[in-house]
Amino acid sequence: MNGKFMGLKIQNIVERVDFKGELIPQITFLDRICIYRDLYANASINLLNLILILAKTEKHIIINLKDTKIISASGAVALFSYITYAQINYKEDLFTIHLPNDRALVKRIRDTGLWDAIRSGGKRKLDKLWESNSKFQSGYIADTHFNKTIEALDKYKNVPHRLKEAINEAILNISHHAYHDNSKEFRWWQYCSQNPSNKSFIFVICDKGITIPKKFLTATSAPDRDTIPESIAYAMKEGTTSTGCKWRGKGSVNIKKPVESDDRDLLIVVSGNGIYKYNSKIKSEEKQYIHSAFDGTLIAWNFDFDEA
Amino acid sequence: MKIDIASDFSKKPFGRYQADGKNSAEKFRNEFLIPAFQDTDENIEVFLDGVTIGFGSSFLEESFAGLLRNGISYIEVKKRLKIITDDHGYISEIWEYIEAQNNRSIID
Repeated sequence: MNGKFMGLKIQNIVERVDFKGELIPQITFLDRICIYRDLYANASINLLNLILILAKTEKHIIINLKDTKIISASGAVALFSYITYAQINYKEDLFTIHLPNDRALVKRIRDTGLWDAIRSGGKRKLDKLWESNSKFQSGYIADTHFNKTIEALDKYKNVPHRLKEAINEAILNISHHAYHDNSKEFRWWQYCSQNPSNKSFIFVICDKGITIPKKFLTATSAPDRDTIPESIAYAMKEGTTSTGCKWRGKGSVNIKKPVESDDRDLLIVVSGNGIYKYNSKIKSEEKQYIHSAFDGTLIAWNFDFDEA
Repeated sequence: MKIDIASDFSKKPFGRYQADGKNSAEKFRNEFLIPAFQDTDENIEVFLDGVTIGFGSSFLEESFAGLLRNGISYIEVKKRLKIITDDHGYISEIWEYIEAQNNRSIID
């Protein structure tokens, strides 16, 4: 497939290539992988979704990152979640990953732990990440892995105020609400990083659950370009809960609070076909519909606009 | 009477219900707060600052507002409960939950 893909110039996004004598699918990612920046969100999510579509039927898949020059934090967590979800649920060595031609990016992929996180392996690989200094982690036992997350956060200087409480509630939300009750496990994926000059901080967490729009939109509220992002904004209002219990739904206040003390801070929520951004300066909300549905919910707390 | 969450209960309180883990709000409330209200007439000072991982809203709401859902009257809580912490945000948050639960009890 050559020419244009969702408005972006591309070449050979998905094609079959010869790999050890067999023709297998290769997914070629674009120069930028990001989940919420307008131009790239749809394309990035579409390619990620191809991973899970192909994983159901293919014996082997090549993930081609050779042309990629930038992977945002959200893009990296999304890539981590999609690849390892497929490794856990289909085959541990399902993928061959071609790293970028950009050497600086390759170094960053290795130094941050992303390579260790996405290389072949299953649940044991992910469990071992907790014992390493990887910035990428995946948890599934709420209290245990929350505590490990805090232990890792405590190694950073100047952890943003109330971020621990926000992560606490985000993990509890995943445990209580993100998945169907009969799901095999309530897994999430996360990343944390501080800029070496200590001027910026980012924490990203995502699940592969039901999605907020599907949780809150009922048959009477037809999902469309307006209602889908609106449903995320609704979910982020204090007191909103899918449980029916009037004393619940306080977690959204925790989730917003860390970005309310500095006007450069930003909260981003991507869920299904919706993107929600919350800027602390004027407590404004931005709601956006995206064509390609993100398979789950991703939350990012950015304490410097330029970092993400 | 003093209850120090970190030293008496756990340095890592987490979650609302017992199913969320071994240091849940439900456990804290049932094993520490409710007995304190039922077994004594004293004021009850609850110390928060030994916990350094922070308190999620779910834990605070279920622990303290949950008292009113589990047989402790608002009058008793208002009279006897003292939250001791350097973080005044937690104090106002906890009382907000207690007041909200009381208001719901009056309406319902």
